[in-house]
Amino acid sequence: MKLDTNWQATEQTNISLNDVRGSIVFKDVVKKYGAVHAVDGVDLEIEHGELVTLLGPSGCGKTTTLRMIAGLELPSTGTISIGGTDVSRLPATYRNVSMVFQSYALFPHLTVLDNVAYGLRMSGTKISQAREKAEDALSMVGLAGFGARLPSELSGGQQQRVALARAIVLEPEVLLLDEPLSNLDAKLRRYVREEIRALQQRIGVTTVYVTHDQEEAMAVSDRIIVMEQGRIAQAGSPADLYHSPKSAFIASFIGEANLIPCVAAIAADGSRIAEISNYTFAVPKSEVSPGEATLVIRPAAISFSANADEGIPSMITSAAFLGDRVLYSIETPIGRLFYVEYTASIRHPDRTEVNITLDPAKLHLV
Amino acid sequence: MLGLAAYCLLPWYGVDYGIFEPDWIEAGGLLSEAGASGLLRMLVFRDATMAIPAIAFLVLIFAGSSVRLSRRLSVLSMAAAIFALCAIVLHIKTGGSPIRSFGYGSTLVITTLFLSVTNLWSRLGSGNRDAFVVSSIAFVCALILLFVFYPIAQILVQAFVDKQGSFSVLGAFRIATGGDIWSIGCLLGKSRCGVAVNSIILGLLTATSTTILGLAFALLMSRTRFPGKPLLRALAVLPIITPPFVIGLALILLFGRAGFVTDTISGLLGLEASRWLYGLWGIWLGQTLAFTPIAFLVLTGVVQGISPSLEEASQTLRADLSSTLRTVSLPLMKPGIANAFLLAFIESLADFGNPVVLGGADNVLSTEIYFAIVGAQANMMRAAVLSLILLALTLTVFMIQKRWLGRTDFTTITGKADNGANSMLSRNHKIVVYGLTLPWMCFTTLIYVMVFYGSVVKLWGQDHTLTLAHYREAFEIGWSDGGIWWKGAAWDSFWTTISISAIAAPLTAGLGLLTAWLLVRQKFAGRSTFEFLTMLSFAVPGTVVGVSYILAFNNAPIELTGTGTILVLCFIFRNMPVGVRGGVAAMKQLDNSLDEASLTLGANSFKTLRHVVLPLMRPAIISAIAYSFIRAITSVSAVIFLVGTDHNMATAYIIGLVENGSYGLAIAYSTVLIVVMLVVVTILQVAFGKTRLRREDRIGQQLSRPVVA
Repeated sequence: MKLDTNWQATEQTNISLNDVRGSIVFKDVVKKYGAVHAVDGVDLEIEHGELVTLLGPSGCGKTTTLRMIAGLELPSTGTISIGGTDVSRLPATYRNVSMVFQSYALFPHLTVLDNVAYGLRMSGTKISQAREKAEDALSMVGLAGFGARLPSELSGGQQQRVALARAIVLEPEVLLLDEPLSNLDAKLRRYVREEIRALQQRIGVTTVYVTHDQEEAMAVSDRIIVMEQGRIAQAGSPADLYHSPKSAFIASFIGEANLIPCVAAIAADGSRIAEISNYTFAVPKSEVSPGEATLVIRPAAISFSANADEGIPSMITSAAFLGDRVLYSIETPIGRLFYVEYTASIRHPDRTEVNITLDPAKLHLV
Repeated sequence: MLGLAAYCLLPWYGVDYGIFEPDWIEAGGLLSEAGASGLLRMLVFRDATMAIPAIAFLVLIFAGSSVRLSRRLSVLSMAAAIFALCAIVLHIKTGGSPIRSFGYGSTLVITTLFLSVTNLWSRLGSGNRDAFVVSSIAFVCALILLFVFYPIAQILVQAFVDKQGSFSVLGAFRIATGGDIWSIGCLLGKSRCGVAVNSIILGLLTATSTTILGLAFALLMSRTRFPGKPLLRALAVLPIITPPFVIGLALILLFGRAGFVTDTISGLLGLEASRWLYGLWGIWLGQTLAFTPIAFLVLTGVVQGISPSLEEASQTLRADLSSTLRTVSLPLMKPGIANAFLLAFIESLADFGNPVVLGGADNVLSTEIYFAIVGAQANMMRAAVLSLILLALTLTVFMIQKRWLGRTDFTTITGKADNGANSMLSRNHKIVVYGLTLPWMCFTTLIYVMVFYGSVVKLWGQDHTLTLAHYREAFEIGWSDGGIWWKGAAWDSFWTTISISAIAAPLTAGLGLLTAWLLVRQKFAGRSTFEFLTMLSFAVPGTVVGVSYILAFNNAPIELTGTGTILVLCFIFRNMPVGVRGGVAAMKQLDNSLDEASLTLGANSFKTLRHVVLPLMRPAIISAIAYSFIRAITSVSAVIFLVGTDHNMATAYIIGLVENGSYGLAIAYSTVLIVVMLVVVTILQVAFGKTRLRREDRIGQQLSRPVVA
């Protein structure tokens, strides 16, 4: 009986340890280079087993954040903990974190197998055992039998998978990926990102992924953290970010959007309306405070009116046929709008007058 | 641990014998008072200060054995180690008379204590510093301070101490402003110029001529379809493996009073053979021959660094080839050209070999320093003051070069792959370039032919029968009692030279590359100062180094003169900047993410250096070793002050031969040196130079494998 409770207790601690293992917590982290604040007061929490993307334009601090998780940079102030332990001053060598570099950083003088076994050898694993584990990792990324080659004898996609194998063979608490697809050609990218996602799901490692490509971020992530000028602009699931952007920056960065300056007002029923010159649009989903605001019009919110007396009278200024869709630029009284119609041919050529309507359910105010 | 062993086993004070020689054992070995180790000194000879390092070691071992070091304990043990360090140094400096010098034991103890301090310091500091990095930085700094700056400080002190040993600012001032140094009489056509003025005039002349010739060769190399480019490359390398005075010797054989050309011309025209070669003009000719290849190498980089698209842009804007060169390329090259000019100026100021062979009555600073020390009345004060003047001149030029040109060096190299090729030279420019370079190439070739020819004739100018007598005299091998008897006169200095250079070369390369790694890969406070310090030693002329080493290491506490150690040390710190530069250039080619990948994979910075950086740098390492080896063999200026009776270097020996007029023997010896260096460099390149990183190798293997159907 006594034994039984003990066993339960152990089990419970194990569970809580598992929850903490691989979690990442940033508390008010600042990284300064001289006077420049590369990362300026970031708080974030990443849970065990999550795949989180750091997304943002270049220079937003996402790579610096990643490098601080790796321990390649140490924060100027603030604390970083990984797996519940404060690692703020711990250099990369001693962190249980692996990283896949943008350039892959495969050691050109070592064979593929020795590259993958490198980390194991450095932590004192016997050479035969290290090689064995490295073989396993290579077959996990589909490169069994490539061990004897040199990195320069592999294609870009294969090199990338070696870098991945080299990182996961150490069974790290956290896996870091720094723009892993940027050196691959466009067609390979989609395939590789699916592979990465599948592998991450299979081994369940906490993964932080840096990219500036929003489509890539939305495709792979459980959660996206959008950064802007060293701060977190918004964090949430891909759908959250797309459907309820908190700022014009997020709205334009996640998916495509027309941003129209407007005045927000509160209607009698308490919902919001956006006023632009003579037009008013109901924006039922919004809770923005009244005053100057920006109306976010996704291309999907726009449609051509069926009859001529309905909607906003507008003029097509350019129409480009891209095979499965047509890109329109439309001059309207509320501003120039960008619209995508999925159709087989151009229905409204340049310089034709059309009326457009906006779907209130797909509008946002920020 | 090593320190403790040294403390127990090795003699504390400097001893007069090597520790493996029987003499030393006879004199009492470890058990004698003078030869005792630190531990024995404490126990047997009741030397109380010897207890201090023992206590420090105990504290350190205690600290080292505890796994997680508390902050207080680290501070405590660090303090103990520092205290012990100070105590040891003070003890040796003040302890009893006569002052005794550091021995193997104390040197090792000091080193290990020092490293323990840096090690503990790294644990105290922020986490990004690992012990290896901190220790390396401190170690390199300490070495540079001890072996570059401390000796120079000694010169500074010596400059104000006159013969009677009293302090004299006035005396120093009188020497420094003397007419024999600064007189400009020769410019006014009256009398001789002062040595400093000679040096400066010579520097300007040499810098101008080498820069023009170097530029012409660089243009010939990269902007024409000159067929003899491989020959050109070989000629550019030859002077680097030529001891500096050899060209001077060859010039004497050609243009000296009994010279080949002089004879012919005086025979034809009935003129009397003159001594024009022995003086400023002769030195100028010699230095131009010697330094043009350096200017050529610098300027080839500059000429090839001009982005072809700029020149192509100029041509699409209606500029012809010659105005493109004039208005676009040359202005872009200006910083590079100025850089080559200043480099040649420094080289010329520091040169010793050519002036000593060809100088005749016209002395320059470097030779005047030499004669002030070895001359009839050895005048250390004068030598020190002259050294300071020479040092001030080279440092000024060095500063100008750093300040103005350091950054504009590679303005147009963008790192992006540029399409297109550099434009060719226009007809007129081509004529000028060919007109300058072809005769000079022939002349250089002639010089080397002369070197060889001079070594196989009996007596130059009088008896031109071919003979191998000189080689035999220098390198005869005989048999005696079943062993080889190195009978030739040169063997002794030859083996000394080879062994000392072979010891110095890897150490130089190692220290240089370590420094380069610290500079490129590590961020630390004072990094730019550190870089400046390491590069500064490059600007210190060899003569000055020689004088400073004599002054600094002649007496206790550091007594090294006359030993091989001082030669090795001298080479290491003279040639280290070359290793640093090579290492920095090579390391900048290596993507930093390789290092970072290794770090995130759990390797510390030492393992990263060992397993990632070093293997990838192998070509750079080989060339650094080869280059330091060559520089050690060919160096004259510093060596000539430091050689002792036991350790005579080849170059110093040859200078002696030249002074005695044994030109044939001197040239034969030099030829052998050149051949040896060629062989060594080739072997190094072939054996280790290749790294297998490329695909071609494997494809090549596959292709050579027969296909079985």
